[in-house]
Amino acid sequence: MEQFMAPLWLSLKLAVFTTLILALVGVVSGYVLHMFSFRGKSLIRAIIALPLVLPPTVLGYYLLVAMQPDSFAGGVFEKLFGVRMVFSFYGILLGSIVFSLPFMVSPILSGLDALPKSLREASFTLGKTRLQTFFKVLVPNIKSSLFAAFIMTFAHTIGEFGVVLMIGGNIPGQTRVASIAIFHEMEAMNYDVANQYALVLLVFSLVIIFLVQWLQKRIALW
Amino acid sequence: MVNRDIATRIHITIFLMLLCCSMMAQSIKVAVASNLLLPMQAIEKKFESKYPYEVELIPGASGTLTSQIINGAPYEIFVSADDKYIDEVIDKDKAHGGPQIICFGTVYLWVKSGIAGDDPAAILKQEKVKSIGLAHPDLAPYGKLSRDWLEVKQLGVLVHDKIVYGTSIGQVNQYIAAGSVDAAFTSNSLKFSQKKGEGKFIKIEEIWMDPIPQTMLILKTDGPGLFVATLFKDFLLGKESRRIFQDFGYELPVAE
Amino acid sequence: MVEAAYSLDCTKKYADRGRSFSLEAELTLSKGSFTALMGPSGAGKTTLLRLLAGLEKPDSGVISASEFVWSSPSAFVAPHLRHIGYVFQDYALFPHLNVKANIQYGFREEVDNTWLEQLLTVFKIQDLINDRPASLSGGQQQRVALARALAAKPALLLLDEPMAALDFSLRNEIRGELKQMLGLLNTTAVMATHDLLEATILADHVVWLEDGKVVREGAPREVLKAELLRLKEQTRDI
Repeated sequence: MEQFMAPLWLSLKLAVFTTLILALVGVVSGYVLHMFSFRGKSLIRAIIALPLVLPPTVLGYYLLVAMQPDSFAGGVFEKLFGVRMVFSFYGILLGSIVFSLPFMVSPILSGLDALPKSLREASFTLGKTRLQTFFKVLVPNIKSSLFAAFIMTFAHTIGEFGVVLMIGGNIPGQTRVASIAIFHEMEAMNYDVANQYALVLLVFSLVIIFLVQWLQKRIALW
Repeated sequence: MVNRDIATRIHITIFLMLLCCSMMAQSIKVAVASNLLLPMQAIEKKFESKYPYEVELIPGASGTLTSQIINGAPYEIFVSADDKYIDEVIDKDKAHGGPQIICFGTVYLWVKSGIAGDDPAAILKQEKVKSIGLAHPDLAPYGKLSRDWLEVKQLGVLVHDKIVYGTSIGQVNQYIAAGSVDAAFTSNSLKFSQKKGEGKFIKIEEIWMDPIPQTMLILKTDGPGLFVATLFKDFLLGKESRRIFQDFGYELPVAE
Repeated sequence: MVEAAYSLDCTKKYADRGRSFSLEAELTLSKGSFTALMGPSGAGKTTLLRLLAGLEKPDSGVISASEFVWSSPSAFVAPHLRHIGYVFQDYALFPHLNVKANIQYGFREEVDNTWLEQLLTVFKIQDLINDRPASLSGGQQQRVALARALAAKPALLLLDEPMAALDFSLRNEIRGELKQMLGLLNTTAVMATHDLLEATILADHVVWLEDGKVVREGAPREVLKAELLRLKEQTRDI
């Protein structure tokens, strides 16, 4: 049982860390991209959206190349923290963060863009700075977008496979998350175990969909 | 005072890290070619009941595992079904010590129950056989040998459109288990396992066909796993393991 | 000549309903005055207000408040530092805050409760303090927006067609309330409007804009008289 649960806990851990870190990244980039105008803004938006269309294997390949112990980034990270990025939890965490970035940032940005411009302008004329305006007026008015972003990021991380397999492999306790465990048990011809993992993920996905629907109704009523 | 606190904290951290390391030393990761997974699982159990160390088997296609190793995957031992990958790992300076052959594998043709015949070439020519599982020749030596056999038998063109490629013997075995192919080239280990399911197995044997050497290599790792890795290597070459490989239909190298 | 509290002499390209215009305006506002900006749609009324608020930067020229330069090629004072009030055409009340919190948001430092009470009383919204903007009528929203804009006792109040969405009797009522508050605070006000009557009642100065240029300005009666004459002549031509 403990052995069966390990990949599920690992998936959960990965999803929680990814969502927490991306929540911070999402809010900060929402602030910068929505409240300021500067050169190269549409390029940054395009780069953030890139993982949506990029095949996971392409992303996985570049991440693998970048994080190799012999590469610059991988070497620096290993020297600084004494941990190796590839085939470790840190590696798949970074991979998930990059891969799920648009799932967090896009809903936040479109939520912000959908707000009437006059709201933030009214706040400015009432003597509030950009930062105050962002957190006191804009963020409270995109609650449903924020919830959607958190949930979609979380669910997307749980379901991620290609990037994890490429940069993390299949290492128990480090990178063998639930989706990889299905693959692993298939390879080991333990079809009943693979079946159980698949069932858990199926139920999880259904619950997420219901949760999103329920939340959207609830938030609409606020 | 504050400095002392920090010092204590650092000491505790270092202690915990060492503890982690010493606990990690209790287990090693063995990257193993898919065809060997079943006997290796049996050997793993035996080893773990005898020694207080844990072995984690990471199955995969030899080529995939090789690229992981070259990219820094933390495996202590690599058991490959293909010598060319062993050479590549040695070339990239990832090996600790030399390679060692542990056993030889043979190709088997699995045929779905309900399809008659004993001659593999005749079976594959039948209309009933609509799809044939084959590990990709570029990725798996079993696949390569099977394809060579098809060419020699002049079946290559005939069955070309029926072939369903898998990335490894493991994936071909999944096709077999799911019943999604009518015939498949697999390895001896499936025939002799308890998971072989239904259908019959026919050995593909020709004078020109050499058995496929399964080679083991200890890898360079930063961790302190070398001791356990050496222990496991000796165990793999020992009597108990040899018997298990034999039980799964592998041929053994002449004992030294 | 009364002391000029605010002056604007600048150009700004702007677009309205897909057409692009160029504003080239010179304007002086004396302390405590009430100026009505009038003219057809696209004349640049809103753009002028936005330039004064700092929501737009001029392409060239200078906007200043007494001796302080607000906008110039080398300097820009952000809107939140200009000590102004702005009433938007759509009121721009914060949906997540109730009426009281909306008005409190306008206070710069600590909330002055006496002043808050006074605002609630004058604009007759004491009973609505716990309501969210979405549940208010147009007239109620208008009053809350005015109260919020006046919370910080701004030196300059900018109003963008504030009464456009309200019916006649309601306008009259709110006009009275607004005039009362402005008199109390000695606030300089600028209002964009289409309503001739409103301009005559509230404003002491009317600026008539067309295609981004000031074509006429002066006391409401004179400007309107001139405009009426012009219209008559145009009709005669037809």
